[in-house]
Amino acid sequence: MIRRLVIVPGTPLLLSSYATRTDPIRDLRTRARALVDSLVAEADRCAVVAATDLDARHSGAPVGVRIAEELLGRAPDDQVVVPWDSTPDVCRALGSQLASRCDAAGEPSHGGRPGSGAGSGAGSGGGSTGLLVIADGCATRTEKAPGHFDARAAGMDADWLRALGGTEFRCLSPAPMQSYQPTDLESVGRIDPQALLDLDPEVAGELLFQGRAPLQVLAGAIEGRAPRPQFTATDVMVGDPFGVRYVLLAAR
Amino acid sequence: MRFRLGRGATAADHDATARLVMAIVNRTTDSFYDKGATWEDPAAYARVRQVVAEGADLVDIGGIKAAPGEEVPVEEELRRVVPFVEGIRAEFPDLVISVDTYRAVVADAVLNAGADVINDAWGGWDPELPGVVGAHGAALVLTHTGGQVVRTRPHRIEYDDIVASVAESLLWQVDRAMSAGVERERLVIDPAHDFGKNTWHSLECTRRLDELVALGWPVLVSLSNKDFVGESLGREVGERLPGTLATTAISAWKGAHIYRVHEVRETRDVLDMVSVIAGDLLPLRATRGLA
Repeated sequence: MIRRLVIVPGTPLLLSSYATRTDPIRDLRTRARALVDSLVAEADRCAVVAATDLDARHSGAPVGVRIAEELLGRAPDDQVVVPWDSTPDVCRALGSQLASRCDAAGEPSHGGRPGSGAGSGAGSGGGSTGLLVIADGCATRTEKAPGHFDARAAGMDADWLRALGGTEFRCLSPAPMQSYQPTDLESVGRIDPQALLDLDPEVAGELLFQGRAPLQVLAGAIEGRAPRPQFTATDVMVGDPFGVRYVLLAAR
Repeated sequence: MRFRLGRGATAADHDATARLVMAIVNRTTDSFYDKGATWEDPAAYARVRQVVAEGADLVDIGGIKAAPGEEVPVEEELRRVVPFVEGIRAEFPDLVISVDTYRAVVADAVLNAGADVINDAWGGWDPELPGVVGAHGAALVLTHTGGQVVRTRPHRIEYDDIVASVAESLLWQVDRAMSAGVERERLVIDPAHDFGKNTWHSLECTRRLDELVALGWPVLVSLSNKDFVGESLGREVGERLPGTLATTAISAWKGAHIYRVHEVRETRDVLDMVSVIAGDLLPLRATRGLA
């Protein structure tokens, strides 16, 4: 069963191959590593959800997959690489299938040893799964943003932040990464899978909202499970230092 | 290939990817470029502070202009440079200090005062000089002047092959210096653009600099605002920075290691840019297309 969740932005700046003498996302990188380390430590196995690249002109793995592998320090136990322009229905189905595999992996009859942390490949390992979702928001938030400014971006990003439970996750734009204190998170609600599934894929594509499909896979993994997992954010950073909405979030 | 310039216990150890900036600090009244700008002590100290802040790896202090001019006796050269070396050493304990002199007596005095490097810009004119440098465990810059008499200009000089002449002279000086006790990793070679050379010779030394790099010693180039740049472009002194920087970039790409310059900040940027292109240095901060 999926019991832990971390969402990390899909910026290539997180990849070691793009390291520079000064780190333009030092705070984000430091916190992302810490959250993923906790995810690995607290879960018996790890699964990843990432999107294909918006504009793939290479033969390698998608950026999101490489970010996940670098943060995990190994290949995940399970993985969904969703085409970035998949429909919500496709995303929902992929998420549901992933959740089923995670549930099955936690059952003793599959040979998993809960608490062992061992396993490789789908279906192996122990009882609890930590889910790492590589997703970020619109890349059209400012004049200097990769997709230039689009006034619709603020609303779209507000929608998915609200769906993550955070009506209070607001920040000015452009803004450096901003951490929320535990007291800020006391009023945070549960992740709303239906609100994530309601995100419009056509508008999201126009706004270069690459994380839409992975977030809808996440929604599919939560929705329809019995009992439905209830995730509430415990650690949040939000910002858009380059005109792209980044959200770093841990939930349980 | 590795080399060391500083004499301190923590002195940096450089490899073939090094691109170091040597800032010129003249203690003269009549050098061709700055015309005595750092003749007075306050201006000279300010110059050192400025070039260190701008990223210079070492300073090269000179008490005699290279071109013909006023005779500077040994005592006067000592008066110009020794107290200044002492002062700079006190203020900058880790800064590599080079002194541009062709006199063994002056070399001995400045090395006692705290200098690390002797820049023998006149091609080993004083045969006693390498022994002095070796005795101090210091570094020595060897230069090619084609046998030119100290502080004279070349006049109708020709070579069969300028680069071969440079290589032959420098390797001979390397042997002599090592025999005199200078450590191998403390020897630097300099083709000495404009010294004993016309503009064609300096251009060919630049074009074929990789042949000198291949000799296996760190290569110093002194290009800054020189006549071969001015004649190539029709630019007077004071208008030669673009040409100097273009030559700097070419020399860096061909593998030179130390750049003796007037303009530190601009040179630092050129060398760092070459290092980044060559893959020897990471960009400072790159987010374009990666957000």
